[in-house]
Amino acid sequence: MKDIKGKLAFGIICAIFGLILAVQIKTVRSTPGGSFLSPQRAQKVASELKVLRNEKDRLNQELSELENRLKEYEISEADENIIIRNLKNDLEKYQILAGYRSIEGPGIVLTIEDVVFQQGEASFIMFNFEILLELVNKLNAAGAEAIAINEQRYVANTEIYFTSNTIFINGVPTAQPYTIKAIGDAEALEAALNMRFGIIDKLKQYHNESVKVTVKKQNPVIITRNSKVTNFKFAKPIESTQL
Amino acid sequence: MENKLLKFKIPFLILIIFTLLGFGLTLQFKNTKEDYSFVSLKTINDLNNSVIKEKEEIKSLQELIQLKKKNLTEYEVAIQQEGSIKEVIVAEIATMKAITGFYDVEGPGVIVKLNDSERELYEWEDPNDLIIHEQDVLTIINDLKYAGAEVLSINGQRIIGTTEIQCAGPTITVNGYTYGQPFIIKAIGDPVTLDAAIKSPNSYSALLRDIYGIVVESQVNPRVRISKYQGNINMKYMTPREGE
Repeated sequence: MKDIKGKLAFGIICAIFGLILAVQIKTVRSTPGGSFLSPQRAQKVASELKVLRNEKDRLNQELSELENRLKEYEISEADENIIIRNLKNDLEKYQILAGYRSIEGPGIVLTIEDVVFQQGEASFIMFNFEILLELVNKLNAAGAEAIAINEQRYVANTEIYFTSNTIFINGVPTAQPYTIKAIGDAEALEAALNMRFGIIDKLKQYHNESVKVTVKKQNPVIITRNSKVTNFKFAKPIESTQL
Repeated sequence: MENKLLKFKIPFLILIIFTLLGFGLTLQFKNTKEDYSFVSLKTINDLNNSVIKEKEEIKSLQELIQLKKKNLTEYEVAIQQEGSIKEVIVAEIATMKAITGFYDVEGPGVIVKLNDSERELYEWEDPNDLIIHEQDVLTIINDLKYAGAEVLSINGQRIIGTTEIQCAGPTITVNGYTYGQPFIIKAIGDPVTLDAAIKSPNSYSALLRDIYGIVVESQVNPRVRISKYQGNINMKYMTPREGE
C-alpha cells in the first residue's frame, strides 16, 4: 500500500513536469515570426546595418555642405543680378518637380496593409501591386501635386515592381505597411479615393479579409526628396524646340 | 543488505535526475528570454531589407555628391572666367527640364500600339474582357519603366510624375486631353529590353494578346521623338522645405 502511494506521487509529479515541458516548447514554437535563427547571424547583419547607416550619415553631411556652398554662390550672385535671381527660382521649380527637394503642404496620407501577412512571404498586396499604381493614378487624376510611396517620391520614371517577395519602388525595397502621401487639395483627394464603387470601396467590399486601408487628411504632409539622380542615357534633348 | 543499498540508491538517483532537470529547465528559460526571442525570421528579414535599402541610398547619395561637386567646379570656373554663373544655371535648367518633361527629347526606343480585341466574343465571355482598361495601360507603362524606359508618352502626351490615365469607354484621357483608339505608347530607352518587356511570353502584354486577343504590338525605332509636357504645372499647395 505504501509502495503504491509513493509510485502514484512520483507518477503525478512526472505528469506535471511533462505538461510544463510541453507547454514551454509549444510557446517557443508558436512565437510570432516563425522559427528561430542563431543570434550570431542577426548580430552580423545588424552590425553591417550600423556601418551602412554611419556611412549614410557621413554622406548626407558631405552633401549638405556641398549644397550650402552652391547656395552661397547662387545667393551672392542673385543679390547683384535680377536675371540670376529669376533663373534660380526657375531652377528651384524644376528641382521640386523632379523630386530633388523636400516639400510640404496640405494633403492626405493613405495606409494600405495586409491583414494576413507572414514575413518573408508574398502577400495579397504584393501579388496585386497594381493596386498601388491605380491609387497613384487616382490621386493624380484628383489633382495631386506630389505623391510619395513609402518615402519614395513618384516622379516621371518611377516604376513599381515585385520580386523576391518584396515590392521595389525606384529600385528601393519597401516593407509593410505601404504609405502613400499626396500633396494637393485634401478634400478633393479624399473624395476621389472614397468614391462609391471607387477603388477603396471595392477593396473594402471584396477584399476586406486581406487588405486594410485607411485614408486621413493631414496638414502638413511632408515628402522627403529622392536621393536618386536621374541620368538619361538614351534620351537626348532636342535644341530646336527650346523656349 | 542488497535491499538496503537499493533503498538508499533510488532516492539518491531521483535527486540527481531532478537536479539535472532543474538546471536544464532554468537554462532553457534563460536562453529563450535573453537570446532567442528577439531573433525570429522576421527580424532577420527586416534587417536584410534595411541593408539593401541603405546600400541603395548610399549609392544614390554618392552619385548626388558627384553631381554637386561637378556643379561646384562649374560654378567656380564660370565665376573665374566670366564673372557670372548665369550660363551654368541655364544649362542646369535645361537638364532639369528634360528630366521633368518640359523639353522635347529624342532617342532609340519602341513604339507600342494598343487596340481593342477584334475577335468574336466567346459565349462565356464578358465584353469588358476584350477592351483595354486603364489598368492595362498603367501596367504596360509600368512594365516599360521597369525595363528602363527614360521618357514615355501616350498619344503624344508626355508622362510626368503627375500624369493621370483615365479610360472612359472607347477613349483615354491623359494629362486632361482625350484620345480615341488606337493608343500609341512611345518609350525611349534600351530598345532591346523595352521590346522584350512587351514581347516576352511571360509579360502582362502577352496575357492581353494571347488570352483576350487585344492588339499589343511593339516596334523598335532608332529615333523616337517625344514632345514636351503641354499642360500647366500646379504648385498651389506644395512649398519647398527650407534647408533641404
